[in-house]
Amino acid sequence: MPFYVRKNFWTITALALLAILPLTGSRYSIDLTTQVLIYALFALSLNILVGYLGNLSFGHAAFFSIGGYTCAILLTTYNFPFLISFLTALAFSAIAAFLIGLVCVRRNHMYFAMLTLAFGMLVWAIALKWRPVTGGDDGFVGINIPTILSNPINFYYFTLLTSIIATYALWTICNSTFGQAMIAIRENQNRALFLGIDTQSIRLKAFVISGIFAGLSGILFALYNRGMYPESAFWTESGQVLIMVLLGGMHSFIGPILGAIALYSLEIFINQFTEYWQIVLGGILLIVVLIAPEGLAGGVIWVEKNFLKKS
Amino acid sequence: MGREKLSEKKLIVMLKISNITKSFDGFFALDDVSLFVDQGVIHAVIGPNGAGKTTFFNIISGILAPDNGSVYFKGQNLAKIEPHKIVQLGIARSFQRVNIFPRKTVFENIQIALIARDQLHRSPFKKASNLFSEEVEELLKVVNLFEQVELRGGDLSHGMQKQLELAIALASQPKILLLDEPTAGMSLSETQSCIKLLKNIVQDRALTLLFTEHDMQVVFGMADYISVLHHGRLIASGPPSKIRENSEVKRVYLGNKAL
Repeated sequence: MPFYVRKNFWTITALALLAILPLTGSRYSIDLTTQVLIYALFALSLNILVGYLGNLSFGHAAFFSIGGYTCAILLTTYNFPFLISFLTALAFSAIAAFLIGLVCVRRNHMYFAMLTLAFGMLVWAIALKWRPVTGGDDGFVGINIPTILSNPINFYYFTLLTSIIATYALWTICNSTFGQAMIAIRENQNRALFLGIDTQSIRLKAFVISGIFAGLSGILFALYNRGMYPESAFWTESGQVLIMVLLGGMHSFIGPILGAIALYSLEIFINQFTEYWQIVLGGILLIVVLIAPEGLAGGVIWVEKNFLKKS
Repeated sequence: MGREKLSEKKLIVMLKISNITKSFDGFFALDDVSLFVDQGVIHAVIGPNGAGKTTFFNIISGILAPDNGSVYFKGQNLAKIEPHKIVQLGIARSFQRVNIFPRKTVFENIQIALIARDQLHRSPFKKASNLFSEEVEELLKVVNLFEQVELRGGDLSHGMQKQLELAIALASQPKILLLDEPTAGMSLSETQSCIKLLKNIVQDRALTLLFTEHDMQVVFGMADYISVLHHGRLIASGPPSKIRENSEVKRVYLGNKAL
C-alpha cells in the first residue's frame, strides 16, 4: 500500500463504506447515518470549545438552532434561493456567536458555563415565543427545500459531502498554530498570556468558529427534518451533544464523532430491551467519567498501542 | 540613592521604575520604590517574605497597575499596556510556582512560545506540526532537556520543569528576563547547575536579568547588582560588596547569616 493510504487507512475505509452505503438500499440505515453525520458535526463543533479550548459550554444548541431556524425562515418565509439561505444562515450563526462570545469569554470556568447556559435559554425562549416568525411551540414546519434534496439518497450524499468538508476544515484548524494556542489556553491560560498570546481574542475566535460549525449542523438538521423545533434550542439538547463529546473523548479530534455514533447506536440498541434508556445512559456516563475520562477515543488509542503495534 | 557604575562602559537603562506605590486594603506592598535596571546586568531583588517582590514583578509585567508611579521599558511607559503586549515588547517572565503546559509535550511547550513570538497563534490554517523544530531543539539543548523532548511537561521532575519554563521564557527572545525565584524547590546540585546555566545564557544572549531569590548563595553568586526590599520600601541598592556591608540590610534582613 502506498504510504498515504496506509497512514489514513481507517479514514479511507470509513469514507468508502459511507460512500457505498446507499447501495444497501436500506432507507433505515440511510436515515440513521444522515442523523449521525449531522450530530457528529455538531459534537465536533462543540469540542472546539470543550476539548481544545477547555471551556465548558451548556448553550451550544443556541447556534445549532440559529443556523437551522435562519435557513428555514429564509427558504420558506422569504423564498430565498437555497445557496443564499444556506450562506446567510451560516453568517447569522457567526454573528450570533461573535456577540454572545464577546460577553462569555470575559469570564472563565463556571461563570463562562453559566453564561452560555443563559444565552442558550434566551435563544430557546425566542424560538418558543416569537410565534409569527418561528412558529412557536408548533415548530417551523414544511421547509421549502430544493427538489434535488428531497430524495433521501441525494440528501444523504449532500450531508456526507458537507460533513467531510467541514470535518476537514475543523481538523485543519485544530492542528494549526491557532489550535496549539487553544490547547495552550486550556492547559494554562496564565502562561499563555505571558507568552504574548492575547488569550481573550483567541477564545472569542474559537467561540465563533465553534458557533459557525454548530450552525452548519443545525442547517443540515432543519433541512433533513424539513422543520425546526424549539426543543432543538433547549438546554437538554446542549446537554446531549456534551454527552457525545464526553462519551467519545474530548481530548482527541475524532472523539466526538465516535461519541455521536455510540450514543445513537446505544439508544437504538438499548431501547429494544428496556424503556429506561436514560438510566443506562447515566450508568455509562458514570463509567466514562470515573474510569475512562478519555472516552472511546482513549480506548481506541489504548487498543492500538497494546494490540495493533506494527513494526 | 546613588547608582553605582559597574564598569567604565556607559550603561543603558533597560527598565526604569519610578516611585511605584501599591497598596492592598491599606497595606503597602510597595511604597515609593524607584530603581534602574541596566542593560546586560544581572540584577537581584531580595527581601524577606512579604517584602513586595512578587508584587513588584506583577507590576512590571502588567498584571497589576500601580497606585502611583510608573514603569518605563527602554523609555516607553508601560502604563495601560496589556500583559501580552508587554511580553511582545521583550519582557519575558517566569513564575514562583512552576508554570508550564503540563499536558503538552516538552517540544510543544517550547513550540507554542515560538508560535506566540512570531504572532502565528492567530492563524487557523497554518499547520503546526514540526514547525520551528530546529529552534526548539536548540533551546532544549541550552537548558539540557533535549532527551526529554517527547515527554509531557507535567511528567518531568520539578527541577526539569523549572528548566523547561526557562526555555519557554527564552523562546520569546526577550530583552529582559524576569525570574521569580528561579531555583525555588531545587536540590543543591540542581541549584548550582541552574546558576551556571543562567549565567551562561545571560552572557551568550546579551540578556538583562532581573530576579528574586530567597537563597542568599544564589543571589551573591550570580548578581551584579542587588536591590533590597523591606516592608515594601527599597532600603538599599548596589553591587553585592556594598550590600554585604550595608548596616541597615544586615539589621532588617540578613541578620547573623554569614555572607
